[in-house]
Amino acid sequence: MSRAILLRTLRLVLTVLVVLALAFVFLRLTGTPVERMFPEGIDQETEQQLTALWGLDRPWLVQFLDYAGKTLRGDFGHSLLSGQDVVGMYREVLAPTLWLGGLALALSIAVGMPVGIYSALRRGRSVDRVVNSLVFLAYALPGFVVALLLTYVFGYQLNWLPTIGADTAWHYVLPVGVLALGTAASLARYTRGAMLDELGQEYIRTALSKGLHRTDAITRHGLRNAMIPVVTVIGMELQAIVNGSFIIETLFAWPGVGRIFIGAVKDSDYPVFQFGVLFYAAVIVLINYLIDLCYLLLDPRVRVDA
Amino acid sequence: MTPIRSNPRRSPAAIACIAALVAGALAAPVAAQTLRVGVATHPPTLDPQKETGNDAAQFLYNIFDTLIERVPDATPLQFRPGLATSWSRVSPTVWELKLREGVKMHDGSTLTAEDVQFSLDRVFKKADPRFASAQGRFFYNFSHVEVTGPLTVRIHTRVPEPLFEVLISARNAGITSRSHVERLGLDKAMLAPVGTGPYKVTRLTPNRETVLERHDAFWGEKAPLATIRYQRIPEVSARVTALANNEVDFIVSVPPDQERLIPTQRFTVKGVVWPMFHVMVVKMTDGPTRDARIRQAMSLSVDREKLTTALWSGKGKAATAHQFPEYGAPLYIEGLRTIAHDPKRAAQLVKEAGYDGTPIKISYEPGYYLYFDLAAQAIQQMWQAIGLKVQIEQTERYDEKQTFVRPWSNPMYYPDPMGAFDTHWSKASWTSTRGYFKPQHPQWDALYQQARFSLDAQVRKDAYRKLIEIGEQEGGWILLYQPHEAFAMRSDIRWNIPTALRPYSLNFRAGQISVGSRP
Repeated sequence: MSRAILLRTLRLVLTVLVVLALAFVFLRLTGTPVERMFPEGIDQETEQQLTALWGLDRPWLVQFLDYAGKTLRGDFGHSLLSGQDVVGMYREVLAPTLWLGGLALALSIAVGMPVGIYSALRRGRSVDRVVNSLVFLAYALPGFVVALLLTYVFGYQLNWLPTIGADTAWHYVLPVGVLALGTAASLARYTRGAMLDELGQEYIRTALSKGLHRTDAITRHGLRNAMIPVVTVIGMELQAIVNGSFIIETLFAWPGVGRIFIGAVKDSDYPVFQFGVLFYAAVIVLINYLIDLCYLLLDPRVRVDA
Repeated sequence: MTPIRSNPRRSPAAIACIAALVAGALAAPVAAQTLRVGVATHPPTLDPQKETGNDAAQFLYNIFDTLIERVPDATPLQFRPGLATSWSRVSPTVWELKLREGVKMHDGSTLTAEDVQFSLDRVFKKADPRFASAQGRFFYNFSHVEVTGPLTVRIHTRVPEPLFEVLISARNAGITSRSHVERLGLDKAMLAPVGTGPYKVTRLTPNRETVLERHDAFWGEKAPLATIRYQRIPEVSARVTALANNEVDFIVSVPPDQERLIPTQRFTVKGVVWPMFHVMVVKMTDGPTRDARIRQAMSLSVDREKLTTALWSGKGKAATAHQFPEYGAPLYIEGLRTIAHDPKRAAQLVKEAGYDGTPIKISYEPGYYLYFDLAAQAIQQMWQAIGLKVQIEQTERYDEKQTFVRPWSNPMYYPDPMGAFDTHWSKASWTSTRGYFKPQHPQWDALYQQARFSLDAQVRKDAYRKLIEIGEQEGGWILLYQPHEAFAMRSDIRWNIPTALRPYSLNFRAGQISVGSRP
């Protein structure tokens, strides 16, 4: 098992490095910070001075090796546009970002899984059909549409909830709700499907026939087995939350990592973008890593294979 | 929050006290107010010499003083003492300015002639490449600052400068603290700006949020607001909602189609037709637009009135000539019309030019100029109607070799013909250096010199008139319209758009904003 963990860890590091190298090249292909800083153009002499100031006049390979070396020493550089320390920029907004994503995930699990289980246990009944329709609607609605709708109702019309920033606990209600909605719907669908699969298995019938209470049979046997595909989905949905937070942060003027990252892409602010890529790649890879570890814990067959 | 409990034993004295407090609160000077401003854009720093964009214009006027100040709403321009109490030209290229004594800067230091020299020389001499924009746009004719006494400086220009007061009162000539910048270094100082203005920066989060607080030691009339919190809210619908939801008090950049969403019972909407043209730049040196007759035809076929009505709900203003009423007398030319709509003549010119059918491509970056995507489609139809083949291309990065028509804007950076012309169509502009704009008229250069540098206002005016008439014939630009935008604010806020300042400036100094009882 320790070999499996080691292999997965090595794969994690390699993936992050490859993503960083690709991002390093692609952003440079789309434009330079000088073009972004002076959209109306600038004389050649100034352009040369600026690219020299930022060290961008060197070959890309030299720039990458320099960046990789500094990264290994924990030096991620400064924003080309504002001069801020890159790590400090992200650190400042890490807490609201993590809270936003964490709460959205927790809420979606807390709502989505029970709804899925409930729906599976009442398969074919009218309540199942109603729940399924609502879940499908929530799943199909794009996050930004829900965001605009909820903002309009609870902010613009009713003046009940704040719609910009992250100053108080109330500021979390709408963005967390919007982010959680699609994920909760997705989880409900997958949980329902997985539960139905398990409830039809012979071991459930065996458990019931040996006198086990239905609740015990479902929770101790069916639910645990149904969790394996659901954990996979949770991992995927966490990635969806990370991606969705980019839009949500813009719509709710949320002081988060996503806004900094998108701004860096728009401005070709290389150091800020590169750290953002590292950060997101690390988060996504880490999520998958944790899911793999969860498999090891949940499914004895994976342990045997490993 | 502690709930307010009512006292069952209300004595007359207590009621009188409460009434007095309430009355006092209502009549309280606006000094205790906090203004929350929702802005669409926010700059990465607030350095007065580095930041030249619309985003920074919303902040700089409140933080930095200039040696000479403009009366914010005077047309034509009027000047008044700022950090200099008097100024005079002592030779054709030298101006002497006496500085105000005892001006306290935001870092607690006292303004010196060295601060003035440091602040201005760094942009005059382009001490850092990041000052290139301000230097190229405003100060390329300024040479250096000479300190001639503890509170006296002389500013040298390369050739006599007719726009000395206009340019030295631009916020990019704002004065900062030499010792502060030298102590922190430029990068850190740009994030912790120090000026002498009525508000000081207490928090700056680049691209996101800035908090200003009243500078109690300000040399002039104290600021009317205790705190101003600028928050960037990029989405227009989110800005409107934040205002309606009482999360901000004041928002900027509301386009015409969103104005109706502002609840007018509680909020005031102030619209403005910006002194700025949305422009199509046409390449004069290459490709299908190389022939002047084709370029003239393109301009003649555009129905600007129709575009303005359809796109800007009739609130914008169709271009008639490259000038703005904001110049005032004597430089604004009343009734001048150099732009015409004549599709018949346009079709004739296309025939005369022997147009070979090479497609003319309109390239643009989606979303950069409001409504340009719609304008491009309408103009495509107008050009096709006179016999041109037209393609539309969306791009994130212009390929200079393949771009023949692209959108641009010509804002009036200062209220003078040169404020929208020299900053865009000079030989140093990208339109010239990248081969788009190359006027062929033999008088062009001589007229340009007169319009820019003559010390006689009438000579400048006459030269400018000829220049823009020739410019229309050259066809390097197609001026479309002046966009309309609105500010929206709580109805108890009284504020006017400062016509003498650079567009997008938010002026929250004493006498320029008041917050209090509803009108």
